[in-house]
Amino acid sequence: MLTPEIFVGKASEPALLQVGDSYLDDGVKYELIARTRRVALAGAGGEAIYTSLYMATTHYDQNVSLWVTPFVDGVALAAQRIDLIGVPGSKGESKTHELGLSEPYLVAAVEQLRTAPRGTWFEVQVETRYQSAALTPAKQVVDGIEVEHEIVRESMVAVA
Amino acid sequence: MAERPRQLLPFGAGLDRESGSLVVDPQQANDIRNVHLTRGRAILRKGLTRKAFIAAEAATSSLIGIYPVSAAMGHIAVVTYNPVSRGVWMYLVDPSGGVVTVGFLWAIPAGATTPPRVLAAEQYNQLIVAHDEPVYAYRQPTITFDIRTRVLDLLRADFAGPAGDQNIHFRGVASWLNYVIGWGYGADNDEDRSEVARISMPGEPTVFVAEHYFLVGVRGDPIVGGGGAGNVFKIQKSGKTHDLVGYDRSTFGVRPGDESFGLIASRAHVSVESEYFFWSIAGPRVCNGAGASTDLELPLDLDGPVPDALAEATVKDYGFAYHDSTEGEVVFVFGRWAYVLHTKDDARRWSYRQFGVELASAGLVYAGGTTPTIALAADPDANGGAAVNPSYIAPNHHPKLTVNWLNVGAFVGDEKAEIWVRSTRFSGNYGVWRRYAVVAASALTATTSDLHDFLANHDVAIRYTRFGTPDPDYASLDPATWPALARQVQLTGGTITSFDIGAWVAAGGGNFTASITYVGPGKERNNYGGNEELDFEYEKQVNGGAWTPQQIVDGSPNGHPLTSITIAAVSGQSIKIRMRVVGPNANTAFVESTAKVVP
Repeated sequence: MLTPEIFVGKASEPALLQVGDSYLDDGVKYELIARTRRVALAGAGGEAIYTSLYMATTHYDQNVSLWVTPFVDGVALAAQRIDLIGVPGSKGESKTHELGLSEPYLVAAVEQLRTAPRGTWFEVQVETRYQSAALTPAKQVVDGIEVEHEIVRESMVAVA
Repeated sequence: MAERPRQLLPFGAGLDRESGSLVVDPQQANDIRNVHLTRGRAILRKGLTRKAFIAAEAATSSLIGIYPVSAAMGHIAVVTYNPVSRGVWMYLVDPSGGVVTVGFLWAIPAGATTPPRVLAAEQYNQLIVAHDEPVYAYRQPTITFDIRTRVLDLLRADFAGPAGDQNIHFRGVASWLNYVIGWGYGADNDEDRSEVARISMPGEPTVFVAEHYFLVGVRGDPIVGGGGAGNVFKIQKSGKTHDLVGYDRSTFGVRPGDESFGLIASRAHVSVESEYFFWSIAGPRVCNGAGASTDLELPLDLDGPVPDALAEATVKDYGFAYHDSTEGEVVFVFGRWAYVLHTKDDARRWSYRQFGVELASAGLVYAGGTTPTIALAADPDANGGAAVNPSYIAPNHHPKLTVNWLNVGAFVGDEKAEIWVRSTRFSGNYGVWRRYAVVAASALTATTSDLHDFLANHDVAIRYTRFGTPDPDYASLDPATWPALARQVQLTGGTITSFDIGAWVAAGGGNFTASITYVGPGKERNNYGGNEELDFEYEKQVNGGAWTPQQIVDGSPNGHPLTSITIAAVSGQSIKIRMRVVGPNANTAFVESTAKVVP
């Protein structure tokens, strides 16, 4: 059966490459990067506390990993690594991962309270790190993220 | 306690860098790379797997053109550029990654755009290849490649009368309906006409008639490229688009299409069914049929912050586009960076693509099939025949081979025999396999068309086909891999059939000159790839004495030997001249003139 195939030519050596089959570009790794637009969940004049992220992913043929970096008002929070473990095969395995954004405040190793980032503008970046983390690329899917938040000050429409 | 609200941020909506922060859809992305997008999902894109490597090329050569060769299923013609030698070559690649040399196309002159750009169009077993060089003085002649015989030749036509056929120097070519459209060439007395679009004869892609052309737009404003958009062909300049409407000579006409937008680079366009996607000075646009184009650039915000240095790294002239029908993507590539328009469902959206290697070309090929074969009961035995070389035809004398063979097995009755030949001496265009004859296999003999090398060994390979389809043992692109029984080495001949000198005439200083009349080996066929000159050897005999060498003379520019000879002589001497042709593997016998007395 004939199938349409895309072939590309390299600029730096006389090699013919075919699109598909692997997750390397002629042996070179590449990264998945997805960064949302900044959104003001409480309005441009409001503020919210961002408590958790819920991320949905699917993976297939081997263990893969993703890094999630939230940004509040343009400031990057600590990146969190998600490892998708297992080899579910061609049907894939979908999971939801909870990423907590709050941090404990400890006194004498006893948690007194928890703090969570607070701000107006929120965005998140999801990426692979095959090159820097020396991982093997494989098929994976990022379905999306839900941001759990609590509005502490809403934007108010001016009233005459 | 009330549940905290959650905001969904799915990743399938693609880029929107243009909308304001207060109105942007939360589903949109500021940066999304190396993914296939569907509704609500971003899937890591598939990579690029090495299929073939052209070992005959320099390590730094680039692969500047990829073209499907539909007459040979699954085979791909590729064009390479060697930056060291500045040579452009063509190769054939089979589905297993095997590579066969087709031949040398051009030597790119100093001052020309490098790396060169190449445009090609395939119609009716011919691949027409044009050198996309904007400066006419550096533009190389347009080449034709016969897919069946693997012969490279120059595209020639007579557009201006008395001078006869001349080489055509199209800047670009495209296939449309039953025609090849070529642009950028006027006529041999007015070559550099960048606004002229010529149209071939229907079904005859290498035949161009002088009267079948259009002047497109303003004179001197060059046509950059074009492609099909439904039932019209878009002819594009850098700032405008024109529509070629109609379907044959009686209905063809050129009308204004889009008055504001044209094509930024000759390969930065792709046709998808009735839509024509292209990259203009202002970014990506789309046409559906005739008329103006529609903007696609808005979400990319190309005038805004650059997403990555790679987005600016490549000169836009080298951009190219392809359509991945499996993923439903239109991809515009600029070096290692690409803009991807995802069209799989109704909501079109953009993403970026960052390749691990720099790319120079793309081509859509229907692969996965194999060269069709049919088991045959008969095989040729090439070693059972003897070579016979026929006499030559004046005034241009070309070597041929008559190949004889025996048959092993039983004929069905409709088998054809293909005769493939290559010179064993040359490594360039004469040193590649070409098909020189097709005859009924039961004839057991065939004479080739003109070859290129006198008195030289040639590899000969024979295969049988039925309905143009070979036996599996003979399916390889490389005849050198066919069964040994079907291969032989033959020596082309070089018989001098007549030679004589005229009367001696005083030339001053004790020298005398006589004219030469000659019939015998002359120049090779004036085919693309250049002529190879023969060497001729002359000797003198005075008054019946010993023969003394006079000179070894390279063939004259037109390949014939000397038309006269000048020697030192004394009045009253009776002088004969004899000559022979010096070949790479053998020489002809000397042939003597009659004796002439020096006055």
